[in-house]
Amino acid sequence: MAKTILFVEDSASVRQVMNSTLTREGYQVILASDGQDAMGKLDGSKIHLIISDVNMPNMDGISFVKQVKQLPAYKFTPIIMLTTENQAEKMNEGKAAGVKAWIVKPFQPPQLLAAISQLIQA
Amino acid sequence: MEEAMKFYRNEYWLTFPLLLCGALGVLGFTVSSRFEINNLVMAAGLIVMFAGLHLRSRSRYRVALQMQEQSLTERWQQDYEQKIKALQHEHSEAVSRAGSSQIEAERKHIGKLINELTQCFDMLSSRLDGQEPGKPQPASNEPLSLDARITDLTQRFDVLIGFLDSKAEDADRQEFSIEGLDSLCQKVLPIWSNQVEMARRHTEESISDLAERFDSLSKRLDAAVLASQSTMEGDHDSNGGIVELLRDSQQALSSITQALSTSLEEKEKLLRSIEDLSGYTDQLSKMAWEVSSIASQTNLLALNAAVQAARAGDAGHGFSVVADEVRKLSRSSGDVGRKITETIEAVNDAIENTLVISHKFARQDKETLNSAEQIIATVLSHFTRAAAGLSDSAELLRSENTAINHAIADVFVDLQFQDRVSQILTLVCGDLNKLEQHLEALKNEKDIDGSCRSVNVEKWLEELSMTYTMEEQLKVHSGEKAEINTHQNTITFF
Repeated sequence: MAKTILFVEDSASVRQVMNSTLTREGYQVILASDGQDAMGKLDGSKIHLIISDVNMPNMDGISFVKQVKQLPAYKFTPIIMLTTENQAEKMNEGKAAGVKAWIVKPFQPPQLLAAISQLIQA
Repeated sequence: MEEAMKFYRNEYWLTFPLLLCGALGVLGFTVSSRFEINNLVMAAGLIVMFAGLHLRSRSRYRVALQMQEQSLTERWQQDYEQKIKALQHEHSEAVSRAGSSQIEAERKHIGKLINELTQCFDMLSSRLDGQEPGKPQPASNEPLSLDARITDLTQRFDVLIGFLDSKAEDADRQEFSIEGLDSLCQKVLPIWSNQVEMARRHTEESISDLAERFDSLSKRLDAAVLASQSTMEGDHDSNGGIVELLRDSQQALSSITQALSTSLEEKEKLLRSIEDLSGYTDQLSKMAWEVSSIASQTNLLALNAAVQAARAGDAGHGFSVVADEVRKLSRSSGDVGRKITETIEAVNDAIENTLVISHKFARQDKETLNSAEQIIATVLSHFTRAAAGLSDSAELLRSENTAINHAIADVFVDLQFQDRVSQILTLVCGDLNKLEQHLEALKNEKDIDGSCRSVNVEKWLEELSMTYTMEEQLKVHSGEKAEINTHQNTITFF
């Protein structure tokens, strides 16, 4: 059965690229345009991995991660941050919120897929 | 004082033997008087008297000791002060001797520095076109002391700072008061912001569209490769690919040639049967000849019988009739024999013609079979070559598809620049909007109370730098040339 990934990103082009990359690898992808939109899509169904941007309108990535970690159904769902942010302060903030991996854009699809596979199987 | 001390000390120490003697006396007296109460009272009184004497002597000794200590302390203090003063005097003399040369050198150095500083001030004054205010004119040609020159320079420095501050304020006022600049900014900033936002959205839509097209291209290539693969090797739903089709065709065509070969063998058997039939016709010809011969002999016999009947006369008349009939029968038999022979010859001719035609057909069939086998082999060979070519093409298509997919993956990486550009432009738009709002607020304040608040540029720039998300932005902010790294790919696991 295909694993489900929730991808939260405000840039339509990156959403398109990720959707294509992940679908090609056989994942089922749920797309959301920001943290608020993503919270509305967490309806209790099984999600194996969440990938989120940091800088987004309405609700930023770190706030979204903090809210997700408060939901019992998704408390242990691994989360990857995919962002242009490369400052240590922000990364530490993400780590404290419960993020498992931090990927700085632009990402190479093979490495990203390897990281996804590693976290889903962990 | 020391005498008094000695006296008190002696007295003090004297009280102990007295006290001891008194106590022993009292004890002896008491023992000898067998412990009478009067004696005991007297002994106690004596003890109390000696004790009082002892205490008084001790207190007087302590007072004298304190007085002696104080006098000694005062004397030693005076001595030490005198010695310290003497040492200080010696030390100051030594230091003044050692430092006088150094001070002189420092003085010279400071004088030189002051001269240079004065020259710098003079040059600054000339650069300011002689506008430096408060420059004192030398009263005389006599050289001034260092303190006076430093005081002079300090005054000139203070006046110059004040002068430059006033100039800067004038410049700020002039800059701020460029006519229409704030109105222009208020109108042009939203336009710039909207233009940048439009460009950002346009880029995002185009990139999104581009990514979708690349995705579609990649999917179509995958489908083409899959179709090619299924054409060549078959898939789970269809019956098989070209290779299997070729194998089936080869088997079907082989069965056809096999059937043709079998048919040829059957025809050869038929030919042999027909050839055997010609042997039977020979026998029939022989039998027909024998019939003709019997008929001829019968005719001859009937003729002889007719001759004998004629010889017999009327008696042989009946016999001659029989002999005629026999002769007629023999002629008929001869005719039949001839006809049989003719028929057999006709049959032989027909069989011979049939054999010739059959041999001809058999040859033609054999040639046709050989030709068909060759044609089938050739066609199958062509098909096999074509299939091999198709297989090579499919493999090439597969490898090309892999390469194109990698290229598309790289394109996907490059397309992510849009997100970075979008963030940079969003920040610029935000700052333009902030500037517009700030100008609006300044204008309102000026309209209300006439005062004009200045913009804190440093604070503004600091706030702007706090909004950056990438190191490149910080580098550009600080005036450095930012290297654009499009393949940094940093993954950090926590």
